[in-house]
Amino acid sequence: MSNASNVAPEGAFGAFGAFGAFSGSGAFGAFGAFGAPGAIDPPLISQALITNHDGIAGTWVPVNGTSVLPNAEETTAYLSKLSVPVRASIYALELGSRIGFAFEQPSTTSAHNWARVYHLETVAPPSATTAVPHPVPGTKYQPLIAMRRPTQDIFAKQLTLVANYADLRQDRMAEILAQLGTPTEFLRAIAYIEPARTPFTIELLATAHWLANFVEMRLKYALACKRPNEFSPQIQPMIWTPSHGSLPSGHATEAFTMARVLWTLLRAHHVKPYSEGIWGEMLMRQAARIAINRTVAGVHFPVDSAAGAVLGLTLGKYFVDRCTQEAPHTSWSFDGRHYPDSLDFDWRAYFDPKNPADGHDPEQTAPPSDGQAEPYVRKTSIADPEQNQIRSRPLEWLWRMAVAEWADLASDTEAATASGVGGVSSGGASQ
Amino acid sequence: MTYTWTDLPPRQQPRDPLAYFALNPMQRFFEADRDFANETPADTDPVDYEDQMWLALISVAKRDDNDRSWSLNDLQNKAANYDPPLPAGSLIIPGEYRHSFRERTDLDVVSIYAKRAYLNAANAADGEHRLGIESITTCAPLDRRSLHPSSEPFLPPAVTQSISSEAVVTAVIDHGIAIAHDLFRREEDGNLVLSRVDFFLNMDDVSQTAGQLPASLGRVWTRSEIETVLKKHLHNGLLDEAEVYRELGLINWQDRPFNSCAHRVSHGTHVAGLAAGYDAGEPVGEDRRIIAIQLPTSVVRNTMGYGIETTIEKALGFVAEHIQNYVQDGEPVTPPLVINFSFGNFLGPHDGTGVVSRAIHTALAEMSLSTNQPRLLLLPSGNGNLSRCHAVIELTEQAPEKEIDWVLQPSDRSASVLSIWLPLMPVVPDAALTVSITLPGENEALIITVGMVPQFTLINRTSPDGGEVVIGIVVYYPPKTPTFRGQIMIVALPTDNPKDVRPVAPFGNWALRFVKSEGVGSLKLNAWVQRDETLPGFPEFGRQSRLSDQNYPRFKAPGGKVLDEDPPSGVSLVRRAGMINGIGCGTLPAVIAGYVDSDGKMAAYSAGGPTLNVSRLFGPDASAVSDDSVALHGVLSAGSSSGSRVSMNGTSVSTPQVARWAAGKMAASPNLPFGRADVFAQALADDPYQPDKPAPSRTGGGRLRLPSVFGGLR
Repeated sequence: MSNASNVAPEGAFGAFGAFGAFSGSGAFGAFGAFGAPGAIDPPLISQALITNHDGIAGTWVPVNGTSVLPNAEETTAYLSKLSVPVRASIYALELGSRIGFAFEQPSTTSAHNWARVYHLETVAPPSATTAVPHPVPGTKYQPLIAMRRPTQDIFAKQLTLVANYADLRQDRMAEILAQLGTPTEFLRAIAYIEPARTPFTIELLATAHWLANFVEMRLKYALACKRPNEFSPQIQPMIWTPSHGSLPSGHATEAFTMARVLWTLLRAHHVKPYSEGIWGEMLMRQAARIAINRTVAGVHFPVDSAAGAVLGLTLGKYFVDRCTQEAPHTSWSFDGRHYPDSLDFDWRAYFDPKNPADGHDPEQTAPPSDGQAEPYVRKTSIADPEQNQIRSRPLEWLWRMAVAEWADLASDTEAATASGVGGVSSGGASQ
Repeated sequence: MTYTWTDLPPRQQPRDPLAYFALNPMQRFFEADRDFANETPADTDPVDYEDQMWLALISVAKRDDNDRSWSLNDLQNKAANYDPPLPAGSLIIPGEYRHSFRERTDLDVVSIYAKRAYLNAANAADGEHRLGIESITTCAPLDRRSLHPSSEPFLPPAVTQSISSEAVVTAVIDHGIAIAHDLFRREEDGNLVLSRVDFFLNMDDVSQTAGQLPASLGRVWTRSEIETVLKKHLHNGLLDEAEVYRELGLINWQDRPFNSCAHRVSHGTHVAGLAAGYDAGEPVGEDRRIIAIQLPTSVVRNTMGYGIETTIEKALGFVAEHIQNYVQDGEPVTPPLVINFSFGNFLGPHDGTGVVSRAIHTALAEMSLSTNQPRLLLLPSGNGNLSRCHAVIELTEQAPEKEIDWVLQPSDRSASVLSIWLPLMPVVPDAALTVSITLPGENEALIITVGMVPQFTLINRTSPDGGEVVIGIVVYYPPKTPTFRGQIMIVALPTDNPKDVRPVAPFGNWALRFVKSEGVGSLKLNAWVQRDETLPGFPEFGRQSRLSDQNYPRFKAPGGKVLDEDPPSGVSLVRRAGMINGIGCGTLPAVIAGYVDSDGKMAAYSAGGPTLNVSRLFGPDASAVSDDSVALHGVLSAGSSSGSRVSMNGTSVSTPQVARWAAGKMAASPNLPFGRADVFAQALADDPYQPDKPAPSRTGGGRLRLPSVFGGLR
């Protein structure tokens, strides 16, 4: 989204708006309407419809209540009749209402200052009774990701990397400016995404993008990390520095969330060749390129990208879990205080695409600790995840619609058969 | 008066003005650059100027008693016994010089690493006698982390590479060589994890003992080490090039603000692609082996005086050493060798007697002596044809006075150098010539009197803090061996300092007036301005100074095409002719110019002769395509990333195409000599005389008709 003067895009979450800017047609364009009123009626048509109504409606005929059947309630069939922006609001509640957040206030204990994001497990409320006329769902917060910011010394060391990366600005200018918009433009250069062909994939990615932005902005707010240009007047970023904090990088978070969601989606049908490791390799390279370009531009430290990658990969998996009715069972933490101060960003420390085609599932990873140092990324299993959580039918529907777009048209459907054919499997490919 | 001039008495005169200038007046510019660039984070490597190590190309003095030179051991002893004592670690003899070499007394040009204190002592008037050094060429401090701290000779290399009888080695000495590009790789089990690079010297890398082979500057990577790196970073069939170059020390964002191999276009990759790049499936690639040398960034980016060229002796030494480390069927062999060095400058006597030319000559001659295999070094003729950096000033009895301006640009962060050579005359009559120099905005001139007495004058300006700042020097040297031509040199500070507000050199016209005395006979002076333009792809740094003469016509007509030949009736002192690469005037290397493929014309920038070397009067030996057409600039070759092709132009790209062709010729007849004359002969055969054939001074023997290496992609 741009500010009023339309000159300072606030991170890649120009996405929803920028979808429209990049393509005038199809679903990309439709997303431009998010948050805005529906299609605007031209005054000429409205004027004509008024006189037209006067001219032909004739005498009022009353209607009997039984002559029209009510819609089924809470049915996903309804979703396909809704506009994309309306659905986006529904997904937003489905996702957002299950996210919790807390910040441990500063304390002398070094163990504090963590910003924590939670997943809210909910179980269906009991039926209403006289005694409990308004039953509430059973709830329990489970850890999803925790983050702590680096020290000023670490940022100061990281600043040298930012200064040196400026060398690539001439080379990367076109990419940096284009990437002010949605990462979908760059992911679609890898996967065959096209508005007429894969409208629900675009919608799914936009929804994952929403989640990433929703979480990352809260974390940025809590951690309140200064930007490179607040440390030195010599950084001179080549684009506007956004108003929000530096760590985690929003571009990294969003790009890695979407890359992970997209690869999982591509593999849902076990269609050749998407399970080949090179597809994951390329999607992650793309996400990393987007993240690094923000350092080149002078608005992010490499550690911001590392935090963003860990957050984005976590949210990508979480998003797919929500869509596929999997109980989230892993949480991650990123402790900036233990980030090696001169370490550049390298995505491979946080994700290993492996080669699913050979039966080796991709894996989110923690970088190997060198033995002495405290690890800065940790993985923790969620204790006893609730297996009977309330399912999100709208998210499930969206996933199913998107998965169907990746069914193979090959005549040899052996692979597809093996995984349930039909193009509408809920697709639980491992990630 | 804004400036004052101080003549140094003979005993205080440094012997090499450029070395003096780089080591002393330039101090605050180096310090400013390094602080600004974050090349050396303050807490790990403080910018203490006295502790900086410099790579110096030195010519070793003759002993006092005979015509043998001092040995390297003598130099070390002299340094150790110097009084007052020099700081510890002032002189490091590169470990590549083994015990036997260190005893040799037939040395001419060698390389050393030294601190300023040592170099200033060696450059002092009594330095030849006291430290045994005849001349010093140095340019900029090295990144100290890349320097091996010890003077101890290394053990002989124990790594050999196995080759077939068809093999030819191409050595590429350059900057920004992305050696993991797929054009330099071969396949193993379906993956491109084999390298055709047998030995890679990365002078930018941090010095370390982990490698198989030691290096005094940077690190050597052998083929097997490179392949280990390739295999480690190959994932799902794709090479993670960022990781590879980080490990090979070619990309290091922590310590370097400029990482050529991270750019889309890198000079060395493009050049190496043309010289020795083959698709993995091309069988001939199997027998085209590569030795690659990455020159140090800190030296390459500095465009003052001789920068890149100071590395040539070390680079050629590396090639000479490792060309002997090949085996065929278990037996040692020395395969044919072609070397490409696509760099050049404008300075020097242009007769093959300069220090750099001599270093090249010695290295090539020794390589040829040690084997009977063909060895050929290719150099570009340079891109300075239109740079207005050369003037011929003829003073006759009828016209004994001439004037010309030397124009310094504002915001030039590199020192500017003008060198004016007298004709070949071992003895110059007293006051044969006077040269007056008037700085921009000044009325009073400094007068240099040319004869057999040296002159060394500092141009001072009072700083706002009251101190005196040397903003330039004017020097006259009488003729000496081996060039036997007197030289006037003017060196000016940069016209801009990013940090330090004390005076800099004034930009604008430095007016020069030459007056010949009566009865001396005609004097033909040759002036060259040193190249100090920022190199392509590097951050803004130097801006080219030039010579200005109102009679110099730039265009055929106002608004018309650029004139790329001096008009036959021209009266301008400033000349296109003679802008040939200052280090390309020796006798052994083949020098290559560039032409436009579509119209057959010489590229307007392609520099030509004549030279003052009787063995190379024309200038270049041949020309090859440097632009595909007037619209499609440059030729295609490898970009930094695997799979990419980019265009680049200049004689830097015509030259390696000749290297590629020469390698083919050598492979066909590995036991026949192959040299510069063969390149010239092929050019004559490819481009027989016809009326619109370019002049020999531009094209040498003619335009080589080589198959376009990657042009089919255009």
